[in-house]
Amino acid sequence: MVRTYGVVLAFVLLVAVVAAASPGFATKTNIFNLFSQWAPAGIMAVAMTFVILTGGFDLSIANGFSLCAVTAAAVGRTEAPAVAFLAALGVGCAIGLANGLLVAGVRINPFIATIGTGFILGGITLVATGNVAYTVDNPGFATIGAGRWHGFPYSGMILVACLCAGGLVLARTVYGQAVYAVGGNAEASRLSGIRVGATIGSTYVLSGLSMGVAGSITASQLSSAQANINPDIVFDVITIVVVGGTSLTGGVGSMWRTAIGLGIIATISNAFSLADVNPSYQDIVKGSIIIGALALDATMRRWAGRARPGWATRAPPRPSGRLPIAGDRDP
Amino acid sequence: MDYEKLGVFYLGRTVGGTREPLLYDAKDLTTHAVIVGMTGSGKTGLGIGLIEEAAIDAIPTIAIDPKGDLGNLLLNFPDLSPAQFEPWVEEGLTGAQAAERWTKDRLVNAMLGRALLKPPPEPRTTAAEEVLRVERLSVPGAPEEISFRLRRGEIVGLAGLVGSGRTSLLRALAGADSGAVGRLVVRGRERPWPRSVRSALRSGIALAPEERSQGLVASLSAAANVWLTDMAAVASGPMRRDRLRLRRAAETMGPLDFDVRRLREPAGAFSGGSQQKLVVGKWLHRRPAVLLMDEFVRGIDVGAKAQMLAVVTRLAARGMSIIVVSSELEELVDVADRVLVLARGRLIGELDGAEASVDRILRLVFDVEAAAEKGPAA
Repeated sequence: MVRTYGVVLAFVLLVAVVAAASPGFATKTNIFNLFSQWAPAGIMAVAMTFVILTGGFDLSIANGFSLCAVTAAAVGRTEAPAVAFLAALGVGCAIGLANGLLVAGVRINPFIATIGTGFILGGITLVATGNVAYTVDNPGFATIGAGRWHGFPYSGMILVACLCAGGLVLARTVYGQAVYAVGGNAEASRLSGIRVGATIGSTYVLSGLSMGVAGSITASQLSSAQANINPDIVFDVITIVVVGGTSLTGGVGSMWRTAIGLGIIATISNAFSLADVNPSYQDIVKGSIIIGALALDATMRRWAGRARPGWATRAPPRPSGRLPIAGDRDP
Repeated sequence: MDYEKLGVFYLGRTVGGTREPLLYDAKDLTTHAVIVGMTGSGKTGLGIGLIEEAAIDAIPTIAIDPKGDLGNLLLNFPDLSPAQFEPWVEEGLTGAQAAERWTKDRLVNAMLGRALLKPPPEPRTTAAEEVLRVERLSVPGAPEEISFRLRRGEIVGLAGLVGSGRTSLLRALAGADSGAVGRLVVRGRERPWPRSVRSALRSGIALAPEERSQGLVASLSAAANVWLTDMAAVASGPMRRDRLRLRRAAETMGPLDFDVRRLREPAGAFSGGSQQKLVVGKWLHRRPAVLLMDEFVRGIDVGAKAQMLAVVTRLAARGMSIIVVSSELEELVDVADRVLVLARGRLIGELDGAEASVDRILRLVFDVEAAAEKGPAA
């Protein structure tokens, strides 16, 4: 029980501590701002959850997301915002397909494959923009990024919608079951007739789409975009997924964990800002959190492994200690 | 049966000339398998120690007290009643005599009260209709030029030493490995050799793999595993229907003597025998024309073995054709209508039901092995 829901407790405690320490934290303005600020990373974390659940990794999201933002801004200068965002989604989809084919088709290790595509995408973005920012004058472009409804940002709504949709797909659809099965045991899934390649590949397409959405939101928020918007975002996204308790080896995890992870990372980040701490210290803390979370995950799994000796056996029953009652044994 | 672990104990002890029965809490003991006590009161402590040890090692045990007051022995064995112990009362046996009298069949019969290792001869006639024909199958690495036929409702056993190519053959048939070449005719229609599991399934061939780790996803529930092979059947379009799945899983696994109340637990939490049932159960509802079972009784206890054999026989009686591989030749010979013998990747013999015996199989295999040792000139 602790193992499963401990992370919720940690989040609640964290929020309590931060709210007490920084009076500016628990205000509507601040919280709503957080939603807006973390929407791009959060949306990409939703897709990353799928990727990690199948045992994979997508390290191309930082550069992919920049390229999508640039696409949105570039198109948004002359076309309607909807067209611009659709273009960004298209680019994201293409990136996802490329990643998916490399990992599931050519069977390149996802770590290596996505680092490679990440570099390529970064290069493409630089070449295309000449390292100059595209700015968009059209005020309609800024709606989804900066617009609010009774104070709550549209980007935050998109984030919540993605979290809910992603969670629903994972928990209640056949596709979601396939994701868990493939992540849990790809070979057994293959021998059961599941299309392992398509399942794995599709998670990268989802990741690509999330880059499109996130890129659109960021471009809209700033009304501009350029190469290398936020190179560290990939670590934020992976941290969000892993801190929530989804296992890096695949097959174990859920979308609510990603939501909690997002809450934890956003809160910590906000706490630093409110306390006006040097941003460099944030990096030290973030790095420590990543290592801490992974170490905890590894330790917990080792404990679980010890309690169940071997893959296919139950824990041996303990003798009850009430064995022979009738006096002493024979000499 | 490993008679080294087995003596014939009786768990009574003598105190001042009168016999006192022993009471113990059998709650931690799981069912099946047996350790029976040795005569001579001095061995009582040994008997108790063995039970404790067995409980720690999770060797399911029952203790039989052939001489004591049987009514006082608590046994967590639902199938046995004290009345069944009566015929077992023996006294003054030595270990050797006990081993001779308590044959495997008798022990199993005593334990389960019903199932024997030899499945009851269910009225089963093999139709003449040929369901599978393999011609000149070759797989890179082992099986070479193997040809055989399989009829509807037939159980064919595949025997051979480890490394003789049995698993490779099954996996090639099931599309699990690529690179196989050969001619395949299924239900009268010639098919290209399956290059993927899915294409083999379309031809009606399913595989229950050798390792349980290849057959089940440990982190998913038992019910999920059972229906992993046909997720669409327990879903409405893209949406899963987990309650329906649980019900259908219970329908499938119930007849296999599986504790259906535990279907929601992760598959990794079950015993070897239960897991083996899950591995088989997940294909049952898809009714393949040919079911391939690789090491179908490995690492499961005696009672579960008997149940698996009964299941296999029942499936064949209903028209499924089955190819079984087992290193435990006794079980293989018991259940198969015909035995194909492999050695060094070649089919070296085919034994029909009556003439198939462990002895003949081993002789065939070792003839080939010996000839190979002597060199090509032999």
